[in-house]
Amino acid sequence: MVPIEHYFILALIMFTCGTLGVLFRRNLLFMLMSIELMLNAVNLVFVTASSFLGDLDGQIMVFFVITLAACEAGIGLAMVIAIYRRYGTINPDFLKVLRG
Amino acid sequence: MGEAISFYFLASILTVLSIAVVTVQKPVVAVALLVFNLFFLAGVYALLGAHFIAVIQVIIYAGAILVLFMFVIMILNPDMDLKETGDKGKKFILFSAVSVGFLFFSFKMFEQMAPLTKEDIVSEILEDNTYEIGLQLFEDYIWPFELASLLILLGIVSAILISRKPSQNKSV
Repeated sequence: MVPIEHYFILALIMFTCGTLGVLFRRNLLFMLMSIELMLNAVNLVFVTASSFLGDLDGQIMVFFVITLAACEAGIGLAMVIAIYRRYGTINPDFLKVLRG
Repeated sequence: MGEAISFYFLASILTVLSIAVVTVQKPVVAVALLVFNLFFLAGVYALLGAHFIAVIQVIIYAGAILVLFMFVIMILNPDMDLKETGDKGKKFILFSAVSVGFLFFSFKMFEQMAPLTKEDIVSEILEDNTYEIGLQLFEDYIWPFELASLLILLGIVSAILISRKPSQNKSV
């Protein structure tokens, strides 16, 4: 049998990849994809805990997280299209209106 | 034994695919790799006995969200903005911080001497639990369920409002 730590290590690897993608890729599409990767890592932790503890609440939480991810992807991609139409680029380094 | 072999097979593929998704150059390739990543993750869910979650993972993530990504890449110019910009020193500091966090949490997880397997802590075996999920979703979680539908409605409206072409006579 696989110990619970190995599932968590897998989720940790996926979450770290997502974090590094958000921090390092200078492309809004890649950043959104990395956020999806991080949400999936969190879902894996929920499902693992639900399965190991014999409690269905974790799987229902994953259901809501997937709903949230669908909304987030829709609005995020709409913002990518709006930003591209307005500024002609989706590199966040060139989006300096807020002087961030 | 079969479960262990399946898990480590899926886990190695998922690790390679997760690294590849954030390192490949072209967005189209990254979306294709992410589809495979989500498929294999659905396999892990099925291994854990969460068949309903595995199915909606394939339908919603691979079938809807990533198709949306693909459409946006088709609308935009896929090969633009591929060069990486930014400060090298700042990136190195960020990379070090994330790596230290990763190593810290890995160490914390392996610190426990006896690894917990399902036999140690499971209270009941969850097999074929779609029926129970449906019951809980429509009894205990009925208000969050309705709020989720409201969230999706808001998502539709705001996505349309944000991404429509700015009209000539009035600005949004």
